[in-house]
Amino acid sequence: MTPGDVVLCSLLRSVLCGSAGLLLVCQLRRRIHWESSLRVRRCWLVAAVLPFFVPELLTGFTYRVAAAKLVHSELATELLYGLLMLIRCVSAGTALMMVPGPSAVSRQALHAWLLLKPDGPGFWWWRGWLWLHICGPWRSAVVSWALMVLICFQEFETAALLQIDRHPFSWTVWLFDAHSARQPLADSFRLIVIPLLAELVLLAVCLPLVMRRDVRQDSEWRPETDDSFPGSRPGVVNLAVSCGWMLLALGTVVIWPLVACLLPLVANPGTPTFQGILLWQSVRQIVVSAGFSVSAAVIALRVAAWLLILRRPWVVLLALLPGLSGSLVLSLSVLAVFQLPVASSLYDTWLPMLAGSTLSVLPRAFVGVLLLSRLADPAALHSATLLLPSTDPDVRRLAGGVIWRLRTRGWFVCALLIVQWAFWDVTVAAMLRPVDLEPVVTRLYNEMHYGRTEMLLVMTLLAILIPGLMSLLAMLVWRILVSRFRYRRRLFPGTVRRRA
Amino acid sequence: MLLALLAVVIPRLTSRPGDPNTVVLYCAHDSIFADQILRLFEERTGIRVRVRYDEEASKSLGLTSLLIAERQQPRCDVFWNNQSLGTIRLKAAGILTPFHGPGVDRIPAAFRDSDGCWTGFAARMRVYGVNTELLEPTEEAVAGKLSGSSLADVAIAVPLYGTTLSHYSVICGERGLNGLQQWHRSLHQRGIREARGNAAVRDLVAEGACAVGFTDTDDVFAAIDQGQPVAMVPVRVGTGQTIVIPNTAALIVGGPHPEAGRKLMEFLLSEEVELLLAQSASRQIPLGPVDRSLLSPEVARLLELASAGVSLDAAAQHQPAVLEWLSAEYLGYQQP
Repeated sequence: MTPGDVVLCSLLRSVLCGSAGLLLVCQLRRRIHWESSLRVRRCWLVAAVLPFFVPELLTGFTYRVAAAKLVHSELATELLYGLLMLIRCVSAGTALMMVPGPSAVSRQALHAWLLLKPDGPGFWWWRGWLWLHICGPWRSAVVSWALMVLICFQEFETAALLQIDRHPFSWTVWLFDAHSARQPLADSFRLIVIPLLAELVLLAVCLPLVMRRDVRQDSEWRPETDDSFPGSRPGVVNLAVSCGWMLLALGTVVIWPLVACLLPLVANPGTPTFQGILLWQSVRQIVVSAGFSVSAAVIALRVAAWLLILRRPWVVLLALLPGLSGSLVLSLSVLAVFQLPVASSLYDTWLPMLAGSTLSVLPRAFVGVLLLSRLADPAALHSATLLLPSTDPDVRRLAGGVIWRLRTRGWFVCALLIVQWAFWDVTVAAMLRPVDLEPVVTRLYNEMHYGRTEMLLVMTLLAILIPGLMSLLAMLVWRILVSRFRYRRRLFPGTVRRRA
Repeated sequence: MLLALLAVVIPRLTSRPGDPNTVVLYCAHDSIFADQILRLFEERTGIRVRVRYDEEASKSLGLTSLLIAERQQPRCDVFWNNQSLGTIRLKAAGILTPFHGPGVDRIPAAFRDSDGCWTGFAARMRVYGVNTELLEPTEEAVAGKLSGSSLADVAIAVPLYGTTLSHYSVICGERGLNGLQQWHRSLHQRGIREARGNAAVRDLVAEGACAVGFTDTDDVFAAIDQGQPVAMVPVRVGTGQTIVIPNTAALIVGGPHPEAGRKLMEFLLSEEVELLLAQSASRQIPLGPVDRSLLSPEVARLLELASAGVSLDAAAQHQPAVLEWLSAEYLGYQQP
């Protein structure tokens, strides 16, 4: 296949996954938002987005032999990969549908436009009708679809692990192989032009829609007033589809990979699981990798917040371009920059890896900051801030708690997600790390390469638990600091102030 | 919080390797096995080894390409490669400097560079991994399987890199490029399964998805240690010789710690290290003289097979042409 064919196949698969995913996302979101109990709604949301955060290493490792056992069928391999991508897309899309907020065009406005329909509707009417729907009731769906397609299009790890007989086709894996054949970096830049253009088109579709200032700023959103959810409450069919999909997604991406890794341990309980010294080395690697990921996430969020305040779509696109190029091209580019005489003295330091990780997660950090700005409640925050100087410690504590719930907690969750993505990016870690550091994710690849399943499972669980515990600890400490001491403003200044 | 993070990170960012009792090693051998050897070196000599490992994930760049990219300002002193063809490429690029210290002479001439730019030690061998529940692990049974009309239950790794590329280069050295192409097309016309790497081939065989797979000895041993029904049969070229792929050690031109680098080279090429690697889970084959009573029966058998190893000189000469053809075949890409 030619490079163009591979890119086209990848794009076609991404569009199909994004489109099928959108149908499922609409069903799930309808289920979640019509749920009256806040606790149940959160459970649905967590279950819906959980598959997106399962490391691709674990998923790909679990299913790579399954891909080969599929009765020598290339179609079956493509379908398996498509299913795994669909699951990830739907998980991401469920959260992404919340980003643009409620419809900016009311039903009344749409009806008014219908009344303007001439006897022989011309191009101008249809164009206006389409634009109103895209900015209005379809906005969430369009943005979610575009980003789901982007996520699927950029995917590399699972495709590389699953690929057998050159299926599934993936331009990212193709580019990886091209570099293995010692393709010059300059040629790589030339070859990613088309995939990059595709990604920019997708971003150009969704970013303006997300960043546009809404006339309607209804902070008291309710399902009945949201024009993006026309129709009645979801019924039995919606419940069946939602539950069925949840079971399929969680079973495929979360439960079965864990079971598959545990089975060898159960089958051979006498097998030595790990050596103490290797485990200690792994813990140290995990802590260092986590610290590195935190640095990258903090810097990325800071830059993303600044980009959001700037509100220049083209500047945003240029800033996100390195991350959108994919980890491979980004890493090679950063490596080339640090080989230049002006930067070569910094080559054997942590800076290349920090720069690569930061640029890699910057697009996702930007989406996260955008979401936070949409969900912010400036009036309530301002009220809580006014209470902070109170001489009554109980009032200060309560005000700090409100600020924590309305603002700081969201930033911590967003930071946690960004840290997780930076942590599991194996390409950047493998290519840009300094001599002394072996990130834990590259170690996991080695364990997988040698089929040390039990060590892989233990290290993967530790790699999830340790950063998670570190994050919880940081959140607790921060919450105590905010509640007990004087509140410092603008630590995370990304919240967009809405004009009255 | 950001300032605190940067306060921790910035000193790390600007740290430079200034300690003379330091050596920088680029190591393509698996860290799981190499760590033990490097820690032993540190204990014996007091020289700290700063090591960068190669991983599957970075194969597209690879330590070989990294060394070439760093040639203007090398930071590596010693390169421990897990095969020889990449090291030969470095010699052609002028990256290596000769080393004639102790340990070199104990390695047979067939496994070291005549100019002393690199020295082989502790080898692997190309083998067929055979699922013992699906096929008898004998050379006759494997030959019968490979000559059949369908290879749908035979696996091979993508030959763009690694030991499979070396395998292709050996065949090219024996049969010429046309012969290699015919052999390759014959395999694919009969439906051979193509996986991404020898580990994936091993997994296909171990799980029963394939009966036979082209892989290496260390991969088969990993499956055997996991209790999977896999055995190995040596790959032989037309002359009946086996394909032995040694680790190689080489000194880098302009490395920042030449003296420490020479000490590490001496250590890596010693009998002790070859025995350690032979006794590790990867069961590497010693190339120099060692106390055979300390070898396991498996390694002793491999040692006998390795004595009939084919020379890799022709393979090294043909590798660029092989890679150029494979690039066009797999990527639709013509190398400049």
